[in-house]
Amino acid sequence: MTVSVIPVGPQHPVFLEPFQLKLVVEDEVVSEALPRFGYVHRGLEALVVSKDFRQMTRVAERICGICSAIHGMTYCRAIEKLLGITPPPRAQMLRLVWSELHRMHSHLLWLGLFAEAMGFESLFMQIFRIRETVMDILEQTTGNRVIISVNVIGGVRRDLDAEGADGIRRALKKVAGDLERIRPVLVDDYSVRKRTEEKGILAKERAYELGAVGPVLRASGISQDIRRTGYGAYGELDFEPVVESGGDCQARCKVRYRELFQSMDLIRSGLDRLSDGEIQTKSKEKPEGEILVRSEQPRGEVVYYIRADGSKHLQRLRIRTPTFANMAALMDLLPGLDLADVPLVTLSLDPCIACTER
Amino acid sequence: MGMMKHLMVRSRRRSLWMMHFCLGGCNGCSIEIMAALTPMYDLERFGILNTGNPKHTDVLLVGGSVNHRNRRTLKNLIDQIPAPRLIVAVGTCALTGGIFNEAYNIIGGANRVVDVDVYVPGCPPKPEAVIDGILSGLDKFEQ
Amino acid sequence: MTSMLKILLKNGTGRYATRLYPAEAREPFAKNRADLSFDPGCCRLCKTCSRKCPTGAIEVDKENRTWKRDVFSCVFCGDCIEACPKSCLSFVARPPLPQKHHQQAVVYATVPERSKK
Repeated sequence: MTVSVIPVGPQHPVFLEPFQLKLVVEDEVVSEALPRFGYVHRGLEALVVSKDFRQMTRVAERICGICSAIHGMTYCRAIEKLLGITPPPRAQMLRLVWSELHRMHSHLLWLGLFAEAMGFESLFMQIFRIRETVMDILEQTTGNRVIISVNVIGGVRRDLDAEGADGIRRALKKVAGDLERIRPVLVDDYSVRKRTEEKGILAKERAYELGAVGPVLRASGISQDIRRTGYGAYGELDFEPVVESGGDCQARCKVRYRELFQSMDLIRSGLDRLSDGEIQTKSKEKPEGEILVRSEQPRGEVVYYIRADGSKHLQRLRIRTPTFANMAALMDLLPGLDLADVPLVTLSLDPCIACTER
Repeated sequence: MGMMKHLMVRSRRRSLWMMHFCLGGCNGCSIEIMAALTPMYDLERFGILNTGNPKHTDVLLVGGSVNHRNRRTLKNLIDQIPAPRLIVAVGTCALTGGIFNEAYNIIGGANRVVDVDVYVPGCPPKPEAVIDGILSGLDKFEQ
Repeated sequence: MTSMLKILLKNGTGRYATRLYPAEAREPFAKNRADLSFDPGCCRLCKTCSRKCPTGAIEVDKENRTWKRDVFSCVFCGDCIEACPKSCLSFVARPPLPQKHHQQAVVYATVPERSKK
């Protein structure tokens, strides 16, 4: 038996972002995995000293491109609580619509990359084709494809007219039809099942112990979703978290696939309940105090801690991102795997390095 | 011989291999580069194929700003790419560091480390702009 | 196996999905946040835009009456547009063009003197 160390990354075709996994390999089986970080670290939590709390909204949006709307919303919610203002109901509902659209774009991106990691190139292309419908609707309603920049402190800055709402409904119908068509490929296809089933199993108790969050936790059979706490407009809508029991790559794929449909339902009922009125509550105050706010990102629970002293600049901003919580689970999954399965299992946790390192 | 060379130069322009490397940014530019490769925009129409190996690469797309750690990685990658090579900086972060310019771990844009040929502004640039950026730099392969 | 074949057949016979971009550019959406335009005629050099800008891309010089924007630092967030008291700034739907030199990327405008009333 030969023991060798294989570095995966920082530049690797499967990972979109640079991070390094040092794999200690015995023949073809991984015995130990060591992650190395720092390639994307920018130090943006320290930017609070040079940018004021309104400018920090734009920074919070750019923590990560894939969940930018939800980062922006969480930051704004935290500041609004410190200021003691509530955004109008219409603004809350619009935030829900846009953040769910963002969740769809993130999950579709993940499904595509997952297919590519399996080596299923044509499925990857097919899913990215479906994803462009969501991107188009984001561009049409907010003006940009990825960093949509709609959240401001006190509400949203863009209103959605009837035409835009109809556009979203039409786009969702199209996406739902297209997704239904690829369902047999993702769920029943022989080669996909062979590649994903029984790979990287995270048992229910182990997932709980390691503190996994989001779709990874739900794929292991634990029903936990921060949206159920009813922040923003989520309290008005009724939904159940998507739960699968397998705990393997196939279960994680199914959770995200079903969450796409859940997001569509949320957007549809959100658009139906959209009330008329203002979209912004203005405030001239400066934030003061301490706060902890949680939201559900496409990857799981994000926690924002903010301390402010009543001046223009915040004292401290601390963000705990979902991928950071899932990294412990990943390090637990990798030992014992075949080397060929490492990219697939790593990707199945949906690592977002830009979030983790900030 | 002259004709052979002419033919080689002409065909090289239409058969480039491309690699993208995301540095310290928000990852949005990387997503848009992926979108430019997929059916809706399809960079393969221009003969541009995505690859993961720097030794096969002609075009390098850089997204995100350079920090103290990934500077060495970027230099390493560039050294492995054979000349002639086209380096395209995609997005505000890769141009100047953008919104993260004042952060303590950021050195600046990609042009602090490598000689960038084309700059594509936008935060993030649309896939159309990425295509424009690559096409406008293709003259480099005709010299 | 057969399930993917069905999709591929549909793709093969259906409408062409690719946007033939440089040959036929699609019309950008009206509300796109792609680029900024500045109207020097109504500017009062109040510096609000430069203070609100999260990246420090806008420079306003009161003595020389100039307004400068670094296109390469701008993140097109639109905070300056909302802040401008005179609405001199607006969004343009077409994105800025790729450039080959770093220095060309500054939009430079001289604000004309205003006659005192």
